[in-house]
Amino acid sequence: MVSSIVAISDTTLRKYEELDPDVRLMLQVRDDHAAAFEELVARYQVRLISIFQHSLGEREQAEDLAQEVFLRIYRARKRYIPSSRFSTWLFTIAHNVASNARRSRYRRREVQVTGRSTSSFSASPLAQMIEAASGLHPTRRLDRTERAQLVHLAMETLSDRQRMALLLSKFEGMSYAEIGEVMELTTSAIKSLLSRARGNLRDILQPYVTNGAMPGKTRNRATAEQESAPESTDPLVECDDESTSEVD
Amino acid sequence: MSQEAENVNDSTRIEQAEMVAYLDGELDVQQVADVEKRLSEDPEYRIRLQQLQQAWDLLDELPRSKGDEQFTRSTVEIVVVKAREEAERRAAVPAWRTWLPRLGGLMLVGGVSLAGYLLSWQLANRDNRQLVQDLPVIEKMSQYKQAESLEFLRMLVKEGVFETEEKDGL
Repeated sequence: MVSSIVAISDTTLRKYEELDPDVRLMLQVRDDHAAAFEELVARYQVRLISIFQHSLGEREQAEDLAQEVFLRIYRARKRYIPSSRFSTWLFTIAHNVASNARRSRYRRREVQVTGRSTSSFSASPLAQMIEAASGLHPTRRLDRTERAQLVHLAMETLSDRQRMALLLSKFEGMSYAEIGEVMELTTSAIKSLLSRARGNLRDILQPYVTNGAMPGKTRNRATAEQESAPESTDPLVECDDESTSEVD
Repeated sequence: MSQEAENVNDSTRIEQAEMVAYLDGELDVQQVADVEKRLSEDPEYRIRLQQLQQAWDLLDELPRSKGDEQFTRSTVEIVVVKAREEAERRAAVPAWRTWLPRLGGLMLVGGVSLAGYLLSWQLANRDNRQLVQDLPVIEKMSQYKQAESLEFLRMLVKEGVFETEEKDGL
């Protein structure tokens, strides 16, 4: 991680330099090797775009945000001191960039939708898809595109943090400790976050998994159960995970 | 919610977190053994774990972006150009625009500190200043007490009694 002037032992520096080839590349970027930077972009661009796209939902914005991450890395190259895996540093920056993007998006949305009611779950895209598909063919199995859309919409019902933790776990294969480092949360908070995320996904997607039908009332029930559950009594929860209902 | 229902809810959540951690390979050897023992004994537990895994597998349906050499190159170019522009903008800023705000800030801090010091000094010495101002009266308090009236004192002042004492160093 680009550390401020934190004391990092030579052993730690050498460890990351030896173990992580991306750290070696980044050290070359620090020394202004253009090819090394291009190699890092090639290695991570697609992965970053995927995370941003599934986290925020728009391909174009995902590409812009990926560029923003690389710009930040390039700007910080002269101060780079390896103190963790390169990917952990990069996804920490990505997490911050995504959080900023979400904040500006919410601010814009607040201005745009003032006075418009968004309280009804049945008005959500997932509900519309459920109604449209199940109304015509209640037991029809979805094709691949529809399945992808269903999973994407199911992901959208998760809180921002649940979604980010899930994406880092699924697509980056990160351990709880690494996700915790990226999201600045404890390992046990990540454990709780991922458990809730996967429980919510299961509740939404189970009807499809079981009989190929579009999920119906399950989501409402699952959400109601989770929302009625007292956050403070959960011994696993060390972070204030946002309610799933905060996402439109 | 009753206490009993809350406890059930808590234990369900803890159990689910253990299952998810098991699927993610985040449990230690003993915990893995416990989960696997439960799996072999409890069909309902097995089904719940299977459902979690199936929902997880469905995430593979999400579209993945594909790499593109041209796109990579254009990203590198954009980043490098933006970084260079930023550096040039910073270099184009006249030196005085960098140090003037700093100097202004320093002067402001200095001024505020000085004003604070003077104010606290004033407050701390207010009592002493009053005593110094009253010193001539305090010094002659014993004499003033002997006087019967203010008129008599004024008469003594007119006759120069106190001036003589001051000359004598009394």
